[in-house]
Amino acid sequence: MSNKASIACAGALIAAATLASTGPALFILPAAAEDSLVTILAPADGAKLEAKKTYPLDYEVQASVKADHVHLFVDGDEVGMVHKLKGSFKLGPLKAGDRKVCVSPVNKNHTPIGAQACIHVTVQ
Amino acid sequence: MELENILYASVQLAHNFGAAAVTGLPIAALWFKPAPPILRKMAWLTLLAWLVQSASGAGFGTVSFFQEGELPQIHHLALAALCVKIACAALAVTLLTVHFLRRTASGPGVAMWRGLAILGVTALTSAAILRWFS
Repeated sequence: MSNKASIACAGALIAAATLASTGPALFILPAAAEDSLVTILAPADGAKLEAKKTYPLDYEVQASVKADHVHLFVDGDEVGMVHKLKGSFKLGPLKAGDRKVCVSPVNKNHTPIGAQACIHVTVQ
Repeated sequence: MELENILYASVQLAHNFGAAAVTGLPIAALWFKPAPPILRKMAWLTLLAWLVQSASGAGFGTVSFFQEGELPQIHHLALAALCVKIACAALAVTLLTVHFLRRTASGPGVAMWRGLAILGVTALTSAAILRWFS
């Protein structure tokens, strides 16, 4: 194969790979309210949970130009991620003691957008 | 359209083309076996692409820091994937720099192109993990 053909094929490979890898990342969402708020619907703040059991943690994030998905933290350690702005995590099993559970909406680059909801639960 | 989205999209654009080049160029070199002068030019392009990858990769964190005041929340598997990507970039840049410092007239040999192809594929695979895990 000639050099020109080689370069042309290499260029085609690069173009194809670029199109394939770009995906939805270049789509820009419509503008919306800046102050995205997140709410933990369940369990309630101060709830008493049983160790070794799992509980659904329901949350809701108001639609925002920045919020893309949410991260779940237990005592500051990230334990889950869901690509929905309204949904549920499986919380637990947790170690006994007082635990701080937070849901943090983040942008496409996994960066917190400023809003966060936290609850304190007692695990027995 | 928000400035933040424009910045992320610009960084993503550079990162995507860089990713395509660091993988596509070594595979093309192995597949088509072009003449040594062309191989040498492809090696320069590969080095440039890895540098673009490094700069644009840092760009994601920079945009986050200046737009949101925080770095991305990356933990566990995603953090491991990021470390793999950084290691691939560092190794590829080192390999190519050493090659060019030797001032050889021809391009890299088959072994180096294979190594570069493996590094590119590994980095691209890690990128998918980094994107969808955190």
